[in-house]
Amino acid sequence: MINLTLLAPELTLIGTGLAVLLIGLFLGTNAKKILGYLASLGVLVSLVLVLMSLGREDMLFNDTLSFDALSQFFKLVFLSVALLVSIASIKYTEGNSHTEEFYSLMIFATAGMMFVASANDLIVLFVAFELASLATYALAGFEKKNPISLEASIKYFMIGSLSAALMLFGISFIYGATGTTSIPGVAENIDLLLGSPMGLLSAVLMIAGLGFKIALVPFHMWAPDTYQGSPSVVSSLLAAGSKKMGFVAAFKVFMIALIALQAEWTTAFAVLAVITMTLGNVVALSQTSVKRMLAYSSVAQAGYIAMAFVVMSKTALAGAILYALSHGFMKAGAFIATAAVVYMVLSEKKDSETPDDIDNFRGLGRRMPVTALCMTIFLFALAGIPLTAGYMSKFVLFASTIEAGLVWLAVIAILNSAISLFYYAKVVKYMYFLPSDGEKITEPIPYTFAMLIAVIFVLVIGFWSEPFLYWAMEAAKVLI
Amino acid sequence: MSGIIDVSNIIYSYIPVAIILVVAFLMPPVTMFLVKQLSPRSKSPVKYETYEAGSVPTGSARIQFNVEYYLYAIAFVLFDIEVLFLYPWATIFREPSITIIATIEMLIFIFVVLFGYLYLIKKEALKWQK
Amino acid sequence: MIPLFYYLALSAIVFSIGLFGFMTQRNGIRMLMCVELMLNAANINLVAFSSYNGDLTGQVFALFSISLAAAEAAIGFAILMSIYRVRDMINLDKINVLRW
Repeated sequence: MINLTLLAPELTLIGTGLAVLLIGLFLGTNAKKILGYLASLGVLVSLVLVLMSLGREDMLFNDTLSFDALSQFFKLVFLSVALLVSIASIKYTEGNSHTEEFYSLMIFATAGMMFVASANDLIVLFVAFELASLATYALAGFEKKNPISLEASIKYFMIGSLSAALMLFGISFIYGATGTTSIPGVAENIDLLLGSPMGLLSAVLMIAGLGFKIALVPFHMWAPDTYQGSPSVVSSLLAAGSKKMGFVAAFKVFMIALIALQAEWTTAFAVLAVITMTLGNVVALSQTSVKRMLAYSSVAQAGYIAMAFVVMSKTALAGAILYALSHGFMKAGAFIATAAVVYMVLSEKKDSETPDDIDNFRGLGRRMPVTALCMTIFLFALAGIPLTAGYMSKFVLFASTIEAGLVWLAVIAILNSAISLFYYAKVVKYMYFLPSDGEKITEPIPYTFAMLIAVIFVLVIGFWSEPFLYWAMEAAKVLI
Repeated sequence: MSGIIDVSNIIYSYIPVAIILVVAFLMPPVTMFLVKQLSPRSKSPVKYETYEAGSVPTGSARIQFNVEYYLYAIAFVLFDIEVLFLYPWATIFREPSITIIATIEMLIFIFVVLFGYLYLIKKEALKWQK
Repeated sequence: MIPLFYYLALSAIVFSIGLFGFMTQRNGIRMLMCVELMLNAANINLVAFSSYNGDLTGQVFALFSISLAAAEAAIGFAILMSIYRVRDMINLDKINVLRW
């Protein structure tokens, strides 16, 4: 009999998703508030179950699911993001008659991401990837009377389904040449793939397919539109969770299955990483919508993480994995803070077309002090100011790049960090130094609570980073 | 390496196809020619009217379907496709070592599909709205 | 036995038609159909490889991808229907509120 206790977090999560949907069907709109608490509780229980299973390693279901340090690390990233999002959404979904759909879709998306983290077989990887993608397509268009949300959703859907098709085509060639879909099995039979043009073709298709999800630059067009147009809490799930899912899938596909093709894809990733971080940061400078600015910053951050594919040392991978964790908290927090501002603007002026415009951040330090303080910490962490999570992970990543002799790459990355400080500081300037005639507002508790959790983790990872770094090292050992 | 599709004599096995092809190419012209030669013809305006189940036709044939119709189509396609997973399951079901666990797994799967149906009914997606 | 090359050529052609259509068409439904073409090209590949390798994994994978394609189409139609209700058209070139 197979050991299902390792699967308990996923089973709990899916059970919660179904339960939320079922209970929601029989509740009136006003009573649906309870669903948010139920969903948060389910995610929390699942998080605790993952924490309890730390250190255990096993394979399940004919070696199609592997449970190791890497998958557990990323599961914690996804679940933490899901927890923040589900707490914040208690306010967002208030009085919405589709609350149960929002929560169950969010939970299924998280479950899909967790299965991607555990996948040890290309079939499982693809199916789980699609589970997460399909749920988030619908979430992006959750405000189905709002043309902007729908536009975000259709753009995300079209590009996402194209990337799925490219990825499936690539996987079909990998399967055809090696005769197996198991990820370690592909690595064993890689000679068959190296001998044919299919190898290069499949590597290119996989880079394109996964690059769309990660939003590396030539494939990033959907990301700013989608992050701007979707509801802010959904953007936070997309930027902090869904993007990390692309990374863990890319780690598995390139670093385990296609490692023998390294010479081919390292160059590609070097070019992509440099273009991605530069373009992301430069375009972010001129944005007036805060959500769009955060989206471009998120594109740039993907460029930093992609440096790990170029350096390919254990420290670099640990840095990238740590970056994934800290970026999860920073970006989710920043989007939730924006959600709080959007909520404030919409409660004052119901038909505001650009509620996330930077002008609405004027005098936020006086109007919503907690939100402004949290937002400041998130933005400084994203810029990489010392004593925050962002600094620590950037430091490890850049140091390992220099250590590996790629000084030019490190210089470009550090210059980019300097550029990014400009646009982050601009928001802080608006919040604290520009006057506003708006009055002080009681901050919605769910948003504030979620932000405070994120702030605590951003600071803890920054101050007391050894255990997290050690842990990221353990996860990196699975890959190299 | 012989695959799952075992075709030893590829040329001979295609002969029936070739015959059908020839017949198919000949049949329509021949029948059309014969009909034109043999049948009696009468011309009247009623005859050239569009056929609409015997009643007098109204409106254009190129109408736009009610958008609600697509909701049914989507629901149908999804439930139709779910059955796909029963095929691989059915092929290995006879093996005695996995019969019980396979049954349980399929029951869980069907429960989830049924759940979707319940959801549709409860959301009144199957009720025709004008 | 039909050589594997023929299947691969067929799937490459179908895939290219899908990709070309996806890039040139601006009607949401047509773009969706082109994505389906591309997914089906991958399915042809999977089944052909499965048959030639004498291994059933590819066929099972094709079944999964067919059902995923159906689910994807369903979501796509749902989003397009919502867009049609709000904007009264599904020409994706005209859906451009968000830019820069």
